Formats: sequence, structure tokens, C-alpha cells
Amino acid sequence: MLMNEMNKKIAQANTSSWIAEATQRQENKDWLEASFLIALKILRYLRSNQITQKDLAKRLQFSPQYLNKLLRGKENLTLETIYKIQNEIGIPLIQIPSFEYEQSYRPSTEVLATNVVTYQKMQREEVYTKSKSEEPSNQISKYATAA
Amino acid sequence: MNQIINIFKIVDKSIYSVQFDGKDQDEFQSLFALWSNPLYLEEFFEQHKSDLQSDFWGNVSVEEAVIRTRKEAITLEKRLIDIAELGKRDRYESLSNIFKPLVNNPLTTEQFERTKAKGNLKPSWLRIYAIRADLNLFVVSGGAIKLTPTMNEREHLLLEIQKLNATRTYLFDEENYDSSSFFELII
Repeated sequence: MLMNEMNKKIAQANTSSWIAEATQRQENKDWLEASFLIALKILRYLRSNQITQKDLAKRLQFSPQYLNKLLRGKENLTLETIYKIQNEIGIPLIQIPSFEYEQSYRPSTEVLATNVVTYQKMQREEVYTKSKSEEPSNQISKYATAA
Repeated sequence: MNQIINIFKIVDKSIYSVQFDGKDQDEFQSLFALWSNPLYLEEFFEQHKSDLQSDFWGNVSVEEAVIRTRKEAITLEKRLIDIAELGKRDRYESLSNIFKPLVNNPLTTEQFERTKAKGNLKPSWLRIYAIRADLNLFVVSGGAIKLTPTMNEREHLLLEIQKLNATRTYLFDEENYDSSSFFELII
């Protein structure tokens, strides 16, 4: 049966380049989300202060094209760039969580207890393995006493 | 504007998308690019702020709307692909579960039905519009952020109706359409 011209077009359709973009979005989702949110912060700053992209680009010594690309939320920004913008517009764009010294250096009693038990068990197994390989089998009873 | 110049395969034998004259991407690709573009979204929601801050949406801020749209688009994109792939193996799990008739009128059945897919949130403002060509075969004509109860109230939604109609005409021009040939294509 003959296919009409339209159906031939569907049958011969090339693959959309969407799949490449979707894969890229998926693989880079964490930094893309950060880039998106930073761009949104800058866009809201521009709007509320009635500043044009061109003016901000000039202040930052960026080309207008670069700033526009950055505002599309696809730019893998360097820390240097982020801090440069942050300092210029006076709005925090990135925050590194403070170190929680108490939690990092003093494990809770429960965690500590689990670690001690695991460590003691490892030590016993090590002794047992050595006894087994170095001593005759009748020496194993010595380990049982020691443990 | 509504002249279709090409058609692209998104998922083989499941999702296709048209490309309109003057656009450098097909509609499906273009939608997900726009819905992940803060520059576009911020401008869109700023323009439609009054719709967004209605009783129906509950006074959503522009920032919240932009972030919500991106998140919902990511989920919708993944869901469409999963269902399209699943539909090839399980005939009961198809894209028909996600693309619903555009017009809810049980008295009329459209041939080559105009359909819409919504985002996962309830309610959702994301829409993908497509012509249903077979049980698990859809040709995307476009999509939009729909903040009003009907499509007749906003320019960008009226344009989507025109694009749906243009896609149907492009695919199934009655003069040229041979009903048996399409099945030949999808087997």
C-alpha cells in the first residue's frame, strides 16, 4: 500500500536533539540547579532595582553576551565569577555551611559503642586467623580463653 | 508562523514533534529548554503575575512559580519517557494514560484527537499539546504554562490551539490521507 506524503515524513523523521539535551540535564542536574537559582536571584535583583543587563555587564566587566548566557541558567560558574557578582550586587548567591565541630569530633555514645564492638570483633578475628595458620589445631582453645 | 517545516522523532513509534517555520528547534525540545530557562520563566511569570496571584493559585510569588515550573518540567519529562518506553512492552500502559482529550465532551469524538498532558502537581499549569495519531503514538504541536481556566483568555494559549490545528492538518490532510497507510508506518 502506498504511503501518503505526510506519513512518509513521519517515517523518515530524524531524531530530535532533545535527547542529547535531556541527557545533559540529567547528568549535570546538581550544578544546573545551582546555576538556575543563581540566575534567578540576579534576574530578580535586576528587576527590583530596574537595572538593565547591559548596565550590570558593564559593572562586572562581562560582555553582555556572557551575562545573558549566564542568566539562562546553563553556565557552569566558577567560584571567582559567583563571588564577583555577589560582591557587586550585594546579595548572597552561595553559602558554605559552617563546620559543626561538636558533631564532627565527638561522635555520639551510641556510634562510639558500635565502633568499639566492631573493632574488638575485628581484633578477635585477627587473632583467630593467626592462631589457625601458625599453631596446630589443638591450640585454638587458647584463643577461646584469651578472647 | 504556523507553517510546519519538519517533524522529529522524540521516542521511536511513540512521541514525535513538529517544527514550525522560524523556530530552530522542534516544539518538544523547545518546551523543555524554555521550562529550564530562568530568563524566560521570570519574564513570563512577571507578565502574568495577576493570573498567578489569583484565588485559584493562592497568591504564588514569581520566584516560587519559576522554581516550581522547572521542577515540574523535569518530572514530566522523565514521566513521558518512562511511559513511552513502557508502552512498547505493555499495551495497557501507554501514553494515553498521560495525554487526555483537550475537549471533554463525551458526545463528540474527534478524529486524530487534540490532546493535552499535564504536569504532576495538582493543580498543574504545565501543558504539552499533541495530536493523537494512534493508541500510543502522539505528535507534539507545542505546550504552554496555562494559568487561566480556559485557553481562550490568553494570546499564548490561543496560539497553541492554532498550532494543534495546524499539526492535525499537516499530518492528516483529508485529501491526502490514506487511513491504512498510517498503520503501515507504525507496525
